[in-house]
This record gives sequence, C-alpha cells and structure tokens, in this order.
Amino acid sequence: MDFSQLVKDCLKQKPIAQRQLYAHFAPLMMGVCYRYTKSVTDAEDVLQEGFVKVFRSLHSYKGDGELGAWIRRIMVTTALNYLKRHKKYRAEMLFTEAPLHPVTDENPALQLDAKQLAELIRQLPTGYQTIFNLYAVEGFTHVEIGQMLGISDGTSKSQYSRARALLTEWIHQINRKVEQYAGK
Amino acid sequence: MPENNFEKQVNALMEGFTVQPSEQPWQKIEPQITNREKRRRGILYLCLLLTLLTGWGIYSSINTTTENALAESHTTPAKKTTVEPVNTQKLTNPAVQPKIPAVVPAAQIPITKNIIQQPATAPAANSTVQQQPYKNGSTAKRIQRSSTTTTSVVTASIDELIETGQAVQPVAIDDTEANGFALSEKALLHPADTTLATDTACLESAVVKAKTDTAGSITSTTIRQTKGWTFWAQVAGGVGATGTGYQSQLPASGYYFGSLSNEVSQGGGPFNSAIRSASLIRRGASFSAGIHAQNTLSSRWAISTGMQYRYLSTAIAVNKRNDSIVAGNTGTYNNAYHFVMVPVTLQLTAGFNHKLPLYLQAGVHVGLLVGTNALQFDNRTGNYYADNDIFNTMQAGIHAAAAINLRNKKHLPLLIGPVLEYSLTPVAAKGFYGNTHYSFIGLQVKQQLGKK
Repeated sequence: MDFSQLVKDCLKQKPIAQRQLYAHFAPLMMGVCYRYTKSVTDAEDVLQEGFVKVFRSLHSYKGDGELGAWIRRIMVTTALNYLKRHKKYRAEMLFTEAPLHPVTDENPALQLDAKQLAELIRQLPTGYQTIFNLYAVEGFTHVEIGQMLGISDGTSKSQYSRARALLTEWIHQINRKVEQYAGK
Repeated sequence: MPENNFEKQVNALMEGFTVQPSEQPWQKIEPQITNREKRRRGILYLCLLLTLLTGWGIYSSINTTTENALAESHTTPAKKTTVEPVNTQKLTNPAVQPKIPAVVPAAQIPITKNIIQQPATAPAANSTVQQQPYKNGSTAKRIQRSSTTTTSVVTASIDELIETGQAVQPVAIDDTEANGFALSEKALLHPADTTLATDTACLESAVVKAKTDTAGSITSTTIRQTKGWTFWAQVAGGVGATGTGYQSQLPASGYYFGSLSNEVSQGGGPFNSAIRSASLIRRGASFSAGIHAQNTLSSRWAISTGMQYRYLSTAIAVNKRNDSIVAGNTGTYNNAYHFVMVPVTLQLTAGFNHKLPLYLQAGVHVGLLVGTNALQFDNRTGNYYADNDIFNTMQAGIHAAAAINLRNKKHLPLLIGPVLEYSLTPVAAKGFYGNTHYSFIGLQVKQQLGKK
C-alpha cells in the first residue's frame, strides 16, 4: 500500500482515504489499546480518541518514519492520557509501593499465544500493566517511562520488576497446567 | 541473556497482536474529522463575510448623505399625533418664547459645508430644520426634536433671533409619514398646509460628504511559528467610546452642565435654561477586521503590520429636556465612525517553553476616518447638527493586547485575548468632541492563514 499517497489523500479530506487508513491500522492499534485497558469498551474509546488525533495531526507526519510506528506512538500517548484521566484507572496510576509483589528473575518459556499473553497483561494492576507494556512491548527505557508517567526511573524499574514477577508466576501456573494436561 | 529472552518473547508475541474493533469507533471518528472540515469552511466563510461587510461599510460610509443619517437618527417611528396643547401654546405665544442670548459667539456657530439645494416636495415631518445664512457666507443646519408628541417646530434663524431678540413664532407640523426615514429634510422642506414662518420656501437638503478622519486601531500581532512571513486574519469585537478619559462617557468640557431638575425647578419649563447641555455620549458596539503579515525578529520577538477596517460607535440619547429646547420623544442616536487603519505591532512571546505561552503585543497605528455620521451639539440652541469638518481625519494611536493560542503547536495558531486601543489624536480640535479621544476595549481573535 502506498502510504504516502494515502496520507496525501487524507490531508485532502477524502473520506475514502480516511476510511482506508483507518481500516488498515485499526486492528493493530486496537491491539495496542487493548493491552493498556481493562475492557474492550475502554480500548475502543482510546482507539477512537487516538485516530481522531491521528487525522488531525496527519499534516505533521513528514513521511520520514514508518506510518504505523507514528500512529502507534499516538495511540500509546492517548492510552496513557486516558488512564490518567479516568477515575477507575487513576488511583492505580499513582505508583505507590504497596502492595508489593515479590521480585523474581525467572525467565519462563512462553507457551502462550498473543491473545493469552495479552489477557494476562490485562490482569495486572493498572500501574504494573502500563509499565510492563511500555518497557517490554514498546521498548521504552525506564528513564523515558519515568518522564512519560511523571515518576522516577527507579520507581519504573521496581514496578516493572514486580509486574514481571507476577506475570512470570502466572505463566508458570499456566505452564504447569499445560504440562499436567499433556501428561494425562 | 535470560531476562532479555523473556522480553524478546513478549515483544515478538505482542508485535503483531491485533484485535478487530467494532464499527462503533469509526462511527464516532468520522463526524469529528468531517465537522472539523466544516468548521474550517465556516471560518473561511466568516472571513469572506467580514471582508464584504468591511467593503460595504466603507462604501456606504463614503456615500451616505448627512441628510439620511440625520433623518434616520432623529426620528422615532412616526405616528400621526396631535400637538400637545400646553406645549403648543407655549410655542405659539410670543410671550412665553425663550429668551435667546443676544450674542452667539461666532466660534460656537457650527458650519456645515457641501450643502446643495433641493426643492421641497414632501409634506411636513416631525423634525425641524433650520437653514441659516451666516455672516461668513456659509450656512448651518439644525435639526431639533419636538415635544413628547411627534410634532416638530420650525424656528427662526439664529441670525434673526439675534437681531430682533425675539423668537419667531414656531409652526407645528403634524407627522404624517409612516416611518422615521421619511422624515428627511426633503420632507421637512415642504410647507404643505402648514405655515412656515421662515421665508425659505425651499429649504436646502444638505448632503454632507463623509469626511475622512482617523481613529484608533486595533492590534495586529501574531504568533511566531516559522521563519519568514506569515499571514493572519484578525477580528475583534468590543466596546468603543469617545471621551476625555479612557472609555469616558462624558461629553467635552463645557458641554455638560445643568440638569433637568435644575431647569424644571426654575419654574418655566424647558425654556428657562439658555445654555443646554448635551446628553451623555455612551459607549457603543465596535468591531474590526483585517489582514496582517508578521515576520520574526528573534525567537521571542515578532513584528507585524497590515490593514484593517474599524467600526466604532457611540450613542447619544437625544430629545431629552436638557439637550433640546422642546423635549420630545427620546431616542438613541448612534454615532458611527468608519476607519481604515495601518497598525504596526511588536509581539513578545512570554513563557516560551510552556505549553500555553502568553503573547504580549503592543504597537502604534495610524488611521483614516473615512466616514462618520456623528453629531455635533450647540449648547446655545440645544441643537444637534452634523459637521464633519470638525473631526480630525488623521488619527494616531497606541494599542496593546495579550493572547493565548487555543490550538496546540501542531496546528495553525488561533489566538484569542483582550485588546485595548487608545487614539492619541483628539476626535476633534474643537466643539463638542474637543479634547476627547477614541478608545476601544474588546476581545480579539486571530487566525494564521495558509498551511502549517
């Protein structure tokens, strides 16, 4: 697909091009939004808000990077703003140290598919979930995460470690069940 | 590294993770991006409309005759009424005629130029026009409202009054026209079945060409976004005034004294006071529209200039007892001033690194008063009249504004904020507006034009 032409057409406010752009990127971006939120409704709200920003900011896309990555950054930023803004997420975005979860450095083998892993990530407390997504999936550094969330990089690190430990524990449990099921 | 293995596995799994959204998000997205386009079109249409209005305003102000302006402003919707008996008696009885000062200082006699003669063709109306030859060869025209009924009175020329020391018997004229505009001076000129006491069977209808004048302008400042010139459309709306101080409502010194209560308490009704005082000049709605070009001087400073049209208005409550010999139906006359201005504005971007920077603007402007229908006032006779020669056509002033950008930095800036203007040049060198200045306070909106 010729994204540069698509972008030009979108800038000319051509409805077909806008719809085409949305249709192409919406599933992938919905996956991003899904990982940051706790419900499909919230994910769709973020998706909608994010795409409105995308279309309004499209004139600032210079074409020097991948369009998908550019849209993804907007989605992540929109998701973070959404979490900070909404009451049900805001309390957990304060990143207090309690309750603490044990830290582990285990590296379990992932015998899960993407959907299952995404569901596990969504089971994490919101603060853990956010930092895990930003670090493990998006690839931001703890310094960058600290700047994005207004916390120290040390807090980001500790939160990530505990998120990772919790996730590892759940993965172990799933692996054990899978092995038990396979053994039978 | 084992730790990296986990993150890599997660990253690889999540990289292509997709979830098919429902149709609902797109249904919400589509109207938002479409409405935005409609809003943008709306802004363009608004600019176009303002441009047309500006052109129309300038054109009409240049071509508006004083005749029409005065007739409109001095006439309330006319109704056929009867003369109030008491007033009529007073007016027609020489014994109760007001004592007119024997001498009227020549300097206070207003002069109206560009008068052309027209034959009288219409029936009488409810205003009084007084055409007076003066010793210097020019003529003056007076318009005066009548009593609480819409009956008008034609009085003698001031010269005659001066010479004889008596008032000429006024003539009551029934109002027969349906609306105020019909009460033009043409209508007043025809004696019809009434008796005009003056020997001017055909009174002149004055067509006073709109004289040019200048007045305060508005700021034209913009945000500095990119290097080079940027172009901006600007509109502002607010309140304008002419006064001795900023936004003052008072008429010029010497033209506001006495009061209704004083006059009445003297026991003779409205004729007891030889010196009349003008009504307050009240603030009126004002607006401006223009185009500006802006250039950056540094990261914080920018300069802009352009051209704009300014409409400024004030209001006078006419026909009060204190401002007319015979108090009549009170009405509000709108003094309208039309300016074309060239402002030069410096802009300082304060709080440069903040998300919501403040733009401080200040500058000077020069302007030209291209037209006005504003009335002068003669405190000896209590008459309002038009004389555009008195106004200073060229105006110089200062202005200041503050603004914030309503849009984020990825969009073309839309600035909004308060604006103040003050004209350093007096409205007029003498008379009613002597030592008064134009001023304007309002809200200004500026939109950068073109592509980001």
